[in-house]
Amino acid sequence: MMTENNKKSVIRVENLTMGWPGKILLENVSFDILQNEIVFIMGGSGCGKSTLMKTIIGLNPPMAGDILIRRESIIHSDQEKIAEIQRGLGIMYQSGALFGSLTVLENVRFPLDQFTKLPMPAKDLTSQMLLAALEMPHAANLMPGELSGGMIKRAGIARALALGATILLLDEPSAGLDPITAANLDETILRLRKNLNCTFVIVSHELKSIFRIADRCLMLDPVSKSIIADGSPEELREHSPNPRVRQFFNAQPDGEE
Amino acid sequence: MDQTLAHSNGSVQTSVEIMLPAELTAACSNQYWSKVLSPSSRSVVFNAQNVKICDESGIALLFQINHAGPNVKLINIPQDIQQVYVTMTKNMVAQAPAPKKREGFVVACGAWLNTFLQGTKASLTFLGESLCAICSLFIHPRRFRLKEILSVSDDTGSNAVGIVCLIGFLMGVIIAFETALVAQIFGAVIFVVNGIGIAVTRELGPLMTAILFAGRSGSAFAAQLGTQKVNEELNALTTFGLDPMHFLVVPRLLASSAVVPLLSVFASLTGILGGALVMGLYDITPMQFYVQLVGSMSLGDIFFGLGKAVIFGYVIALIGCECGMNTGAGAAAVGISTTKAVVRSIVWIVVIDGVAALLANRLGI
Repeated sequence: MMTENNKKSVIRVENLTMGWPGKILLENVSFDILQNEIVFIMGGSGCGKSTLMKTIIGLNPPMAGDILIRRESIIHSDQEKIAEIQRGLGIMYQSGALFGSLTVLENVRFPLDQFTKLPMPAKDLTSQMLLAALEMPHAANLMPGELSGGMIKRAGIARALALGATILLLDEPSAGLDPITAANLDETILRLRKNLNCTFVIVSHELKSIFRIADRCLMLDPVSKSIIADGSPEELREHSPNPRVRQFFNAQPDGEE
Repeated sequence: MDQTLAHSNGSVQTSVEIMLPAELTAACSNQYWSKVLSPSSRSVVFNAQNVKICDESGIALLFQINHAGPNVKLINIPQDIQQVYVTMTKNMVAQAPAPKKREGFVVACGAWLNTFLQGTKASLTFLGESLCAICSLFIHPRRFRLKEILSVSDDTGSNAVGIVCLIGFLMGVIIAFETALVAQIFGAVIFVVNGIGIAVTRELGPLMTAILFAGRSGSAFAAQLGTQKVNEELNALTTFGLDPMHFLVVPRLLASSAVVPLLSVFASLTGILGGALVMGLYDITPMQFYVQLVGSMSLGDIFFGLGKAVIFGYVIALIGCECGMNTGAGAAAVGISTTKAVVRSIVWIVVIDGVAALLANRLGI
């Protein structure tokens, strides 16, 4: 699909209903994520942000609706096709999900080992280059247990990029990081978007990061089970018709407006 | 295409120009990697003018070409690819994978001995701490956590009765069959009953129960405490002012010391039952079996087996808890601790059984 900005839709969510019997989190929701966008999925705790991300990457079957990744359904395709679509996505889980028994370099090299026939020096160099691009070139031979929180997240992003994915889904990338590390991570995301033409879907409610790098925010609401805000963070903070959205973006406690 | 270049010094050298494809990705760059990595006397020029899409492995290939030496050149990199290249490679540090340490035999033996001694010291310290913690229960009876002990006993004891009885029964059947075959030749089938009684109550009942307990519950202790260590639950207990030794280890030690002898009674009884059934096939009536069994055994045999079972239970729980509490970081560490707990427990069960047999022989028990 081409939009008014002449950008392609890389992720299309169509009439999605997700949750589980007795607890519907989102009902009949549709939206597009365009190429080269940085989109934040946000909302209060327990509203289904991470579940939506898992649904988009095909780990959590929806109750109804479809999700198209580059026009191909990740829900209704056969298993082989779904695996192929998933390989085109770079995913960083909230905990980093690095393999504890492998070094950082081996973690980043893992997808290359599994899915390419490149010679070992090529895989090592590619992994080393990704670590260097994420400003951790000296961490290659460390074990995940020896890394700080910020380094684990960056190593997770390096691994997500290893197979040349240009759609990256990051779950809480700056949660628990100090402000400097979080800002550096935001800069890395902007740099990867500019240089590698990546699209980012980020699950987070870190307002500083959102105002720093987000093109667009989608805010989920557990009460109406829908998206109650879709727009740039500045626009939503100032002009959203929904007081809950303005309250969220202004970080105000209940009872203030 | 091959080109022949005339050098200023008059020598003639063949140069090969290789056009890189429009898509320089992991899927299609394999052949170019082999050309860059294989040393060649000819100079090779890689022409990147057609490259439109270049993923991370493609950038790595360009980097390798640029650093392959004087014979290899990279030309005509498109402007946008050049920008990505500079960004991706500006922090590159040539870092070889950590070299594997090659140690001499003597150094390796010394390192192993050092690790062994350190481990033994830590285990003895843990044993001492556990005994102190148990003794302190007499001074601070409020620390006695009966509910937790009963809960562990239920998990490790009641739920294991079925499998222990099955193993005990089959063990009795096997011993009876094997020994009766030989005894029959000498017309001494009735004495097989003596063998069954003594072997099952003194040795095999406690031993098989202990090995089963090590695999079933020792590993569970290591996994439970290991996961708690990884999740920092042990730190949380400590900062609440609760000693993990009192709170987690002592209930498991006491429960295991009580449960293994009880399970071993079940194993011994079902073993004898299995033996009695087989003896029926050799025309030994249940009454004959009973009389012969009672006449051949003493209370000492029973208490010797039970005493060993108490020690087995304590040692298995001690090793399981120690391995769990010394778990490293990460999910893999829990698996390592569990394996270590089972292997160590079985080794120590056999060692203790051997020492007990030797002592019994010397002391005439």
